[in-house]
Amino acid sequence: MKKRRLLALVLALSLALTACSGSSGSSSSTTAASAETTASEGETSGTEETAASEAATSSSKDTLVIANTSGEPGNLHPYNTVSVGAVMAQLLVFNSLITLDENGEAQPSLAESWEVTEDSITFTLREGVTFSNGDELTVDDVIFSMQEMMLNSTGGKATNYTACDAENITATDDRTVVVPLTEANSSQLSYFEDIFIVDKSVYEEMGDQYQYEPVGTGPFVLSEWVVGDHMTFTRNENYWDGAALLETVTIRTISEVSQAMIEVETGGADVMISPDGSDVERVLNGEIDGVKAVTDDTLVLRNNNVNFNHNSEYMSNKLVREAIAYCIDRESWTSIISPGTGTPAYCNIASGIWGWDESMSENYPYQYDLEKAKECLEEAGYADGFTCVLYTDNRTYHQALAELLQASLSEIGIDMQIETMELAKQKELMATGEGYDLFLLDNVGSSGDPLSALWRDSHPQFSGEGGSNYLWYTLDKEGAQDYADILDAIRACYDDTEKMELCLEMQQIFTENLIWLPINSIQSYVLATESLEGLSFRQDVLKITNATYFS
Amino acid sequence: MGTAEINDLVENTTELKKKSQWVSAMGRLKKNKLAMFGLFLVIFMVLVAIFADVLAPYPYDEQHLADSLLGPCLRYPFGTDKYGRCILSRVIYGARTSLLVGFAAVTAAALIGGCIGAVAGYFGGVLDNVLMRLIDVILSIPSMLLAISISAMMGTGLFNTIVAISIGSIGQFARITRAAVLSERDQEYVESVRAISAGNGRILVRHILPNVLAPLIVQYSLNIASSILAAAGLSFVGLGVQPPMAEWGSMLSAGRSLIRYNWWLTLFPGLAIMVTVYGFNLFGDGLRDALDPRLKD
Repeated sequence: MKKRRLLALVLALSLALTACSGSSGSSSSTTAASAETTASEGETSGTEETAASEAATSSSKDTLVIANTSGEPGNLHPYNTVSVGAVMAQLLVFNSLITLDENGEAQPSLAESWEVTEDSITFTLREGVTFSNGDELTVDDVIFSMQEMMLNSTGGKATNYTACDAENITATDDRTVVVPLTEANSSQLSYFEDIFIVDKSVYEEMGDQYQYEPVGTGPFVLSEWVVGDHMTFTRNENYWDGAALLETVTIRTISEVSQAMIEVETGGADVMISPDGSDVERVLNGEIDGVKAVTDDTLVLRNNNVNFNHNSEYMSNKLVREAIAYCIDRESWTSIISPGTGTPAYCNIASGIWGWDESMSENYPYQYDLEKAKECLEEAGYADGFTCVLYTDNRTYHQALAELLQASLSEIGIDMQIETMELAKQKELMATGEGYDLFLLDNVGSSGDPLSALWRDSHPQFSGEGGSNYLWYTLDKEGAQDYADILDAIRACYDDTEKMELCLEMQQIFTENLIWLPINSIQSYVLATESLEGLSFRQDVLKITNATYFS
Repeated sequence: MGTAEINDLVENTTELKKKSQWVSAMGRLKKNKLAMFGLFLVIFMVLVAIFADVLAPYPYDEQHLADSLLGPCLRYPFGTDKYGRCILSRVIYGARTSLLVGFAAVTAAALIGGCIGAVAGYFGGVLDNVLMRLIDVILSIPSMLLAISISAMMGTGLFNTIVAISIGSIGQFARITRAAVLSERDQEYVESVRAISAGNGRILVRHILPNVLAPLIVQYSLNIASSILAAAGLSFVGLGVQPPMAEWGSMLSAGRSLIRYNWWLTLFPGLAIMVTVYGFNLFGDGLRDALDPRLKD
């Protein structure tokens, strides 16, 4: 017995010893490795900068780390993906013919100039632009890219180009591309911002692989993609607008918003997108040192809406829609749904979008009034209420809106059941038009063009079977023809004053028919370290350019 | 000695023996202070769940928008969430949801898994092979992943959550029952009842089942804890019960973006999960120690 114990003791001891030696060995090797890296970093900075000792501050920083809280994109396909995370990465790699400034005015990018008429748009390409692989940009690449977007894209993207005659896009010489239009569309030019120009030969050669290793003319090149962790982009030295000031851009996927915020505060990331409203509020109040909130007045482009399924037995009844409209207490809800970043919304476009009707908030006919709501419901024949279903995804502000609406509707006897699911699943189910009465879905636009937020997402022509919106507000529904007509009129109008009047009228029609209920607009912010300068946006997506730098 | 006397004696001894097995197990359990503490926690939570209506100061879904995000105070001992709902009331009602999901899911799994395991173990052969390979397939998928896939497929809601979780734990019950039945089916007492031409069903239910109950009970009590955790996990990712129903996991999920400023949103539901799971685990461990024949004497 004693012997056995001794043996056990010896064994245990030897085990412990090996464990110790193992851990100490590995730890010493890591310290050695880290020492090495610091040493080599010191060397490089020493050779590159003569005064390395004094310049070892943040000003020499040339690596930008972005915390992406909107989920990692599955791919970077230029025409088939819509997620914010994908577009943010694509903006680093690709260029379009034009870019829109903060007022929605077109500015030259790969196109040097353009000419817009009611029958066509003619682009003149910039000379001497090369792709990151060294290929020169040609009219063939441009025409190919346009046709891919207009004919082969998914997710309803092509609806923005229905006025273009995609088959007959031609080049008149090696710098000029003519896009013929089959119908007048005053905002057609702005949609060319969404068409990323690809290298035709590489695109065809690589096939499916292109979406993982994109080749574009942009300021950065995708150099590494560790799925689930990060994407690294390095500077495109031959960028046509001058090589970027930053050497590397890393996009880290950090799905937890509070964790991303901590990373920005501690220096693990330099900028985060889609921050939580309460974090923005704290930064704006100066409660968090070294972090700033970046935005622009026109970046109020997103509306948080309660949408109706106009096919539903209850929601097709206008009195029911009115009753629900009376149940919405925008003023007090907004501070709960989007604290710090939200404002109550009454129009079908957000306040940062051209054509927004400022007076609607005062003249809105359906102010919060539960008594009126009950009357409407009674008149509709549902005095005892009914049970309905709301589809939503799990974004925090949608969840908040869903719970507030649920509590408010229960006051007038409507039992609303919330079904939470993935956005993709939600869209899949809604495409059938059955099983739901209400749903939450934002509409987003670009600042210069009201139709960017309305055309695809609400035009009755694209409602219903195989359409790109889920309202089922088809042309046979009450008021749908008027709404469709005025959207068409806005599209065909090239005169700004006239167009503005049409927009105001359109919002009246929208409100009268209660096509859906806007709840609040959301201002887009990113939170960045104090020293980061030159951040810009495309719509509400963060855009890192060749002029982004650390001061 | 007459036959009647012998019969009497046999009956008495089996009675005595049977009694002593369970009685001594209970005696061991009672002596285990930690297990008793676990039992106390479990009973406490069950009582809270049953009397939620009486205990909760407010209805769980009553919103007081003016009292949004208040810290713990006299009116709201656990504070309020962003809709001004009382966290204490929601934690109390949450006990109802969590325990219901825990008990229902595990009961369903024990019934289904137990039947499969018993049949497979008792009859053996091809049937055993087919059933157990099916169970192996279920077991080869991580139970949480399986639960997430099932509720993503079937949709959310209380019933679907219960189904999703119970499917994940069927495998364990089937395995345990089969192993226990295997070791019992060739025992002499089974042979003797078979000799008096008792049917298979009767042998399984009346004679074998009582003898394999011990490991099943242990598994049952331990599995409730993990089911409560799984339910909270499902709700955390938004697949569990739907609002406005109070559920600890969804409360955690809703409060997590505010954890740095409004700690009470996550602390109290988190504590509730911890206490309940801890209670079930302590009690389950104690039961196992008490019922394990190897620990006898």
